[in-house]
Amino acid sequence: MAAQLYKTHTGQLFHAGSIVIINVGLPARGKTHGSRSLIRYMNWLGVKSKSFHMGQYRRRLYGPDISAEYFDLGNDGMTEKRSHAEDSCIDDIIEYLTVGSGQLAIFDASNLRADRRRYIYERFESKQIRPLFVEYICENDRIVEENIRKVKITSPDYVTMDADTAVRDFKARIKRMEPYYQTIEDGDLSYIKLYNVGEHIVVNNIRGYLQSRVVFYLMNLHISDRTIYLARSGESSNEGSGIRYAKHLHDAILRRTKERAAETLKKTGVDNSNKMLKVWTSTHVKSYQTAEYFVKYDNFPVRRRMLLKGLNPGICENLTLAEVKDKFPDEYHAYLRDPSYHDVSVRLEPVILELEREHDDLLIIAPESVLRCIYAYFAPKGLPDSLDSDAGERRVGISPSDENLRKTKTSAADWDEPAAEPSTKPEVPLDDLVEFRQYRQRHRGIDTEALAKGDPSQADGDDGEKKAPMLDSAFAAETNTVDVNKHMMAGNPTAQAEPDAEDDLYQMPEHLKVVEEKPVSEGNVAMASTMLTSIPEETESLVARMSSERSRDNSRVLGAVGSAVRYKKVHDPSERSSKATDDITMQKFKKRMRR
Amino acid sequence: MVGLPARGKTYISYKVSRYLAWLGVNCRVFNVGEYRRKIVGAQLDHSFFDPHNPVAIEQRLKCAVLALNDMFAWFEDVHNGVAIYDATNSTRSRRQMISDECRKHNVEVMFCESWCDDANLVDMNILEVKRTSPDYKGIKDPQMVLDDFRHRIDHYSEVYEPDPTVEEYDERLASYVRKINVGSQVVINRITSYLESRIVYFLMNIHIATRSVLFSRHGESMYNLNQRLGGDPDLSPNGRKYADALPSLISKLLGDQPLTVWTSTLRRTHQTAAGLPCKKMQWKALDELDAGVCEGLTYEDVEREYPEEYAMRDQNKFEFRYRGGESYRDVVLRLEPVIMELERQQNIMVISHQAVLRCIYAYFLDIGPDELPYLKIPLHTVMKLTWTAYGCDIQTYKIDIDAVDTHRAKP
Repeated sequence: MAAQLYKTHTGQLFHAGSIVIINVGLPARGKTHGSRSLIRYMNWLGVKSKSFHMGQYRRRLYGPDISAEYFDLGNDGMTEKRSHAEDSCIDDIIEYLTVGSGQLAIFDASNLRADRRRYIYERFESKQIRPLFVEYICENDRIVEENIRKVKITSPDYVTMDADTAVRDFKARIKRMEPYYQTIEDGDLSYIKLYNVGEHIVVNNIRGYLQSRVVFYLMNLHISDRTIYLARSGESSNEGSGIRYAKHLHDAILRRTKERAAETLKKTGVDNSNKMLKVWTSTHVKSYQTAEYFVKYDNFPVRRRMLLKGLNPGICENLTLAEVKDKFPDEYHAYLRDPSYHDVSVRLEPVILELEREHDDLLIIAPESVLRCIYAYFAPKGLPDSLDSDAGERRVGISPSDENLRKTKTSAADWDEPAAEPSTKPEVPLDDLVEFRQYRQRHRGIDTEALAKGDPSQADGDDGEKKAPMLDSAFAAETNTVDVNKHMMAGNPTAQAEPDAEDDLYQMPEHLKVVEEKPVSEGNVAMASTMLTSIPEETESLVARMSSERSRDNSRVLGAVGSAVRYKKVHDPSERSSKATDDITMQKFKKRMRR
Repeated sequence: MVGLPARGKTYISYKVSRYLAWLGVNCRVFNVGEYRRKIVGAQLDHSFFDPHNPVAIEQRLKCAVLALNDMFAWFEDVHNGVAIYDATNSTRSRRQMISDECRKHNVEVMFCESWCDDANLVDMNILEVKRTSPDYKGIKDPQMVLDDFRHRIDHYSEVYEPDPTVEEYDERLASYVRKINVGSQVVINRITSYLESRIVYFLMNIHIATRSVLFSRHGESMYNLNQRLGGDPDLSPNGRKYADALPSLISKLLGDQPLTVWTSTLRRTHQTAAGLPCKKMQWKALDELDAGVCEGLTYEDVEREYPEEYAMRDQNKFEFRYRGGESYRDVVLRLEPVIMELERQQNIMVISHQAVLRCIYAYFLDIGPDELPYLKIPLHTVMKLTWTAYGCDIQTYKIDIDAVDTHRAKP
């Protein structure tokens, strides 16, 4: 299925018109999680979408302390307040879809009553917006309780209470709403009913290509809490280090999984200790060998997937870039061209969907290009940011076998969509702020002494990576990457605020300490130039960007840059010194500017 | 497949198998009716299907099992694929037997049910399909066919146990899709793998209403006259004559049925469609294959300036990608939404370009990537596609206006 959809002359995709998805269902049924994931998928496809969460509107209008009566649908006194909040949300949606050039909006609220739904339906129809109702039904109490524990009790409404009290309070809230819940019965409406998180689906009167894509995606969604680990394969040139990396990887991940389970148990009371871990590797031998320890010791299922292969270099497969240049001078620039990333993303769509479907933890060992695309799907930002920021941040002062391990948590609390405009600060709910803080803590200050000496004993490699997903605006993301000179970061102090589990990964074994300074500078240059030429206002899909930039010069720069990095790595392994002294930094700066 | 006769099961089976083949999945249909005809012969009247006829029941079971065994043998050969077991499978016990057998052979099962209680639709179906089926060969009277078939359906209805609704539990563990009244409602249960969800997605988009799709290239363009590739030229005088002649041909073919016209975003297609009094829509996906650096050049120029590319293209025309442009494979991928939309819509006329039409044509007629780039799609011809029960029928109508031939044969 093509990830690329084409824009018509109206700027929207496929004559599908504007669609509003209206969520229906009792609380803790997975509505918000479904909405967020759908928005993420749609944006990746290139459909401009946004989710409008009623809870946020309510909090904005009436503050976080809301009396319990607000949720009592029988209480007429509160009806006006509720209608007011709802109407303001609907007005915003209409504005987004008509004037704001959005194409898909999700109205995320409970919408339990049939008459209210009819009113909303008519309001949208009158503006030529096609409504699609999605009803989340869950008959399994255990799932509902898990949902409550995972998501609801960390919301701003329950900041002051402890876990069990919060659960009880929330269950009471649900009970109060139950008598007013009327399931969708109107055969005229277009609706989808999801039972038990997609186990059973009833689809009625779906019209249009985009609506059927929505259904297709929702079929593949679930709400289990799981972690996805992305890792590169060990290096192939130096046998010993590759195998040691594999062992390191294995130990670190297992330890992390156990820790995560303990954390979750403590925080929310949900027991995840029996979680399985699945490993997906590409078909390359080195990927599969990196997963060896998982095969030998734990019997975790390891799957080799052809789809995880990287950019296909064709006949250039086993040559270094210099040799490519010699033998096939004409093809050289084609080799560097970015449309190949487009191929990877198109090819990856089934993988992305299967990722969504997996209930267990997942470790993906694949080439860098593939990991970038997968990461780009999860990161709320568009392509150039993730592509180039990865190129830079991944390689700071780490051992030759690229030990960067990245983690992305996909629980519902994560991945708050940022506001479309970089200028306005998005409203970030409390649980996300807590997340942010946890990541920001990892950014330790720069010790001037170490800076001068350029001692690379503690590589703070994952810093920038962690920052990338958590930055709250496109502008900040781009400027931050430019401002921070990666060479400075190489000299981070060894003293740490608190010891952390992953540190072992970044501790290099002594005999492996040949640090190559990867030319992350190139990444920054591209960032600078794109920052100057275009600050992306909203996220454009990966592939729409690719295709639109194909003919522009930018693409050449990006492409050249993207693989020049590769080129350097293969070609000059020994020339670099590991010091980030002033002279060398200056030299690099000059070289960078010359490029 | 599950469902009473004349519910469109075979039609759906062949469509799905064509779609999967287009995606690159090994696919085969095992039609139990064919087995029955081979073993017991065609030309049986409805009493053969009477559930109280013990001899017949045994024979029918034998056919079903034979088909099943053939299917497993095919799986052994291909290791990876989708087989469509096309039969009524109307009783729960039969479905249970099939699931058990499949589990023994490590084959995943997904039931696909077509449910229709609109009597008119069923009758229409019977007439269209069964009339030409080998079961009724030689019988001229459609009314007789109708009656006999209705009896057959009645026999089946006696024992029909449809897949359950949410309340019934034992079959709830099965994966199934159920289309109600040609897709106005669809019930999906326990669909787990990516391939299954792709199939379901496709099923949701197809329908069996009669309609036709018309294809045409744009009229002859200035670049065609000069044998140039790509670009965005205007129509030549001949091309304009073609555009003028088009509306009368269309009204002859379709009468006054509602029609929508899809064009690409290039000028020559708009100009060709200018005379048609219907709703028009532009699709960027229908644009001609992007020739990249070779846009606007003639084939001789390409041979002169990019000799290696020229040679490589002849070697593998399907996969070859122009520098800065696209390959046929890319076009196929970008056409997927168009094809999906074509399946959903009623009468459509597509005015597009040679490469794009080749891909669409190949999809509907099940033509592989080897022959796809060499299909003959001449200028100033309209092709009408009608769906018959088991495939597509193409009729071409050439308008008698001169045009150059832009076809390059396989070297």
